[in-house]
Amino acid sequence: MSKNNLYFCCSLFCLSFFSLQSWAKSTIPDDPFTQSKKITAKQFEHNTQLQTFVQNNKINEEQSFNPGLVNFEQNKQLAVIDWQVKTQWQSNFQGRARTIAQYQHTDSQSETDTTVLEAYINWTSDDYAWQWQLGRIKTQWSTGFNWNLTNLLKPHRDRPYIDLDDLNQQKGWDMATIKFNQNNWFYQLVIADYITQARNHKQQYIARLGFQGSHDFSLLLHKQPNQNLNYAANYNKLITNDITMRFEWSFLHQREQQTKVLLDETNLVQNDAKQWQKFLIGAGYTLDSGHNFRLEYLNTKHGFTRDEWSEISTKSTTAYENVINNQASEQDYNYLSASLNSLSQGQLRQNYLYLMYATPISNALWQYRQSMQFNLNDNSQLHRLELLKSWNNHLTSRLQLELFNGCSYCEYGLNPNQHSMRLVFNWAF
Amino acid sequence: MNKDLLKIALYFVLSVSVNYAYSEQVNDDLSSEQNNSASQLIQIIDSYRGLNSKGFSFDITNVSYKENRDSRTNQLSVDVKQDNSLVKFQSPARQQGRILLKKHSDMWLYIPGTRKVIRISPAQRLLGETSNADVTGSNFSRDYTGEIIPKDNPEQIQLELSAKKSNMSYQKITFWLQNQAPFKPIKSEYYARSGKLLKTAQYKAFKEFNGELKVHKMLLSDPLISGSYTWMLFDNYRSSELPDALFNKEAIVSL
Repeated sequence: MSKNNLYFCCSLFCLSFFSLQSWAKSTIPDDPFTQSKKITAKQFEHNTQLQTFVQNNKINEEQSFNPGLVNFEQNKQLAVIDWQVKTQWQSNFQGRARTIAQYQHTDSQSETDTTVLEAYINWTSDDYAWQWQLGRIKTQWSTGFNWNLTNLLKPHRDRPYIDLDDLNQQKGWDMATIKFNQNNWFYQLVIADYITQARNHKQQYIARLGFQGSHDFSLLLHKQPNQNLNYAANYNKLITNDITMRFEWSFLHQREQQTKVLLDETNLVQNDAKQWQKFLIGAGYTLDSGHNFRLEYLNTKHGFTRDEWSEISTKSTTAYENVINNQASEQDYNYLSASLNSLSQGQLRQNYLYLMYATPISNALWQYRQSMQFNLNDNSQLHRLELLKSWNNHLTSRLQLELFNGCSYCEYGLNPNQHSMRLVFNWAF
Repeated sequence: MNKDLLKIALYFVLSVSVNYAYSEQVNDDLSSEQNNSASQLIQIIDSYRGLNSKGFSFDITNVSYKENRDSRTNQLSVDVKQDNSLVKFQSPARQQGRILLKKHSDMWLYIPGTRKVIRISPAQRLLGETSNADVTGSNFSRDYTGEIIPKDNPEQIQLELSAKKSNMSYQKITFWLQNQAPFKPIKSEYYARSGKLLKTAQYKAFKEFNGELKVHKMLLSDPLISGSYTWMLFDNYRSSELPDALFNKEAIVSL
């Protein structure tokens, strides 16, 4: 290489280097909108999400209702395709549907399933004051974060906290509904399908009215066949710029917990009462830094009283020992089966506290969330630690650790798992 | 929810707050003498925000930049009428379908996955580092008092807004406006209670819509985070028939 060429190369390098340096110092980005795209409304929209998780459980080997009769699963994998579609025609009519196809694999079995969660026609007047809907619709009348007291139509048990990845909780109810909005008030009438124990189809009715504004409230009246009116109400309010509070209440004529087998031969169940009440009071608080806190207290008369629970504990202990000693009768097996079943029917006891803390989302889109459900009657706890991350515009993930802590006849001590870990991925197409 | 969308919120506040229903006609009607009144200037700023009975819609595209990170793009579509707004999340895909409803100081968020509408507080951060109040804006005439700051530069007006209540997201806001019709905003600065500068907005381009001038491009910078910038594009302005009943949490579930 000649000397001139060498000088040229050095000059070019220096020029490039200093150009790069000066570019690096100028951090203000250029206008990116030279070729921007407009958002246009579509007559037909659909979106698909793929959700999958793997879960590993540490089994509770000494579960007090299970003397080896049921195999609790140690591993679980789930993959769900969630497809939602919306069509719009004549500006007033809309058709909507939501379907899931799911594959589930546990230690003992694999199964696939397809469910239509929602499918309905919606008509809205030009001024949005009137609306009617016909078909299978998911109703969300509760404004709660953890417990949904005013969701009176629940084809699948609604447990947003216990299993927030179970999309079957989003299944709707077959119904016809008409709604009227005026100013800040709304009024709604619902006629929904009701299936009796003999599998006959009848109707149930709900009237709903409410107000939105600085004070939000709604009232629901619910009539089921051969039953008196059920009631439910909720109220929420913005207290300050960073505090919200809420209150929910329901008054039903059907107890969530099944007492027929568990308490049939006792005088503990007050059949003549036939009224079961729940209420919830809660608050949310956000710090200037973006950290979030939630606190909720739940009181439910659907859960067992101290005397009822004492009776169940005694009888299930006897049944458990009879099974262990090969002296069990059919009644013992039935009793343990009913006891196990009670774990999935609703709250076992009557007083609960819920606490949640969440960090703000970091620059790299990480978030940490920690929460606890505390049974105030038996001091057992469910702790959940979650690490959330958005990887790109489509992919999010959640790593979750659950710890169940309590005595052998306490609610969370009776859980089939002592602890579990779950890794969830969600891809939005 | 991510930070970029949060940023969007900020724009929305800033853009809407400063430039939105920027009515050239309104501004033309004001002489330089009239403009000397701080309260009139605040009313002008509010009029830019669309605080009138006529509804309109527009789209926002937000591109945010941070050091050592790829840029992120979000898109929102917004309906505004008086002090009510509906912010629909169009992208990214993981947030598509969410709707933020604001009526005065009250806010609700619709989450399409659960069909749930929940009340949220203005301080809550849905979009990352920007508060909900940033997304939906505030009513300056109602919430702030103003003072014109004398300046040597005769081509600009400097207007300082002070919050009437201590719980506002920004305790002080300073605007620089052109000192002649149509009084285009040039820049604004947003301050915390502590006096710390939180955000700066520069108004880079304007676009005419039905004879009215609107903000078209804006550049936000965050002085607290080095290298943090957000470009915002406001486009596709259109008059919309927006019935009052649309701004109802019972109605947004079916949008």
